Amino acid sequence: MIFQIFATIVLAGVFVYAYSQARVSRAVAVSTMVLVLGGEYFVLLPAHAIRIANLFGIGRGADLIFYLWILLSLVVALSLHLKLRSTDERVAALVRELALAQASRDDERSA
Amino acid sequence: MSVNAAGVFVVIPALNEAEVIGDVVRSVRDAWPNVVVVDDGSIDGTGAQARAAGARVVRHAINLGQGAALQTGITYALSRAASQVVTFDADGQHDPADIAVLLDALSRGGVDVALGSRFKGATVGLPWHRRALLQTARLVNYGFTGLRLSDAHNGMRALTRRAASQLQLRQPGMAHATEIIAQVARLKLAYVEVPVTIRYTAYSLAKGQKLSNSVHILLDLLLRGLIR
Repeated sequence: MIFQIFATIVLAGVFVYAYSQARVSRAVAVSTMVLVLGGEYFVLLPAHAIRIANLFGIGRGADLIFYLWILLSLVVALSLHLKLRSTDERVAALVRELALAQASRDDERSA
Repeated sequence: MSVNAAGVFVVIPALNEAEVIGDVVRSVRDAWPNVVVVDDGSIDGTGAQARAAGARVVRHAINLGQGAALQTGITYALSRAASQVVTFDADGQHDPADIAVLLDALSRGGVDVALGSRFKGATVGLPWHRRALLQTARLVNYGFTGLRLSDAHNGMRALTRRAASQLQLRQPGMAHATEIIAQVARLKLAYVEVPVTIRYTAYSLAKGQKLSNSVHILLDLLLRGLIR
């Protein structure tokens, strides 16, 4: 029961934070809130994990959670990669603009 | 030779090449006055050496990678009304005499892109493991681009203004070599492979691509190629 209380508090915090960030990215906020609700469901009713696992041909509820965790980690890694890539491209564009502006000034000075 | 040298811009991306860049710039400027060195965030005075040797220097405030440096150089050259853009390595392994050969191939062949090939031309001092790596890169290139070239990662290329304007290099690092070929294929730019000479020195080998880098390049290609 102690863990369930602790996990519920943490998940509630994540839920509130995700809700508050909905203006930044609605898709990320909504999917995070759905995940939090799913997590809370398994925290409060761990026996259901076994039943759902059996539905999918997985023996143990813990294995179901583990597989889901791996899948979610991959999704998170991918979205972070895309975010980083887009940031890299923006940094490159900025650095290029600065470099070209400085080169123009150098050219004018030497002309 | 019908090429007007004033319209030719030789773009040299450089990172920490102060030891050799001056000689490279001077050797190119003997025949081609417009040399653009893109100093990709060097910390050894590469930019100053290049400028002293007569190059125009465009300096990245931070290191972005060779692909990004090439794109900056190409953008600069186009903004200065370049009619042809030649890409050239900074480490001294290219022969400046080959620039004329590439440009000649562009104008005579009526193509948009002339790609230097060390395997149609000559190599001096190419170690066997580097040869094996380059041959593997050829296969990877073929897989990604569908173009069967004799040389995959040769830094010497000549582009018409039309081709240079259409290329948009987004791969910041070394994977740009494959990206250029992929864009040549996608944009249906006419190309020709031209024999060039690559002279390996202890310096250029030390600066060149390592096997571990190749793994990074492959990962870059996979991630950026598949997720776009």
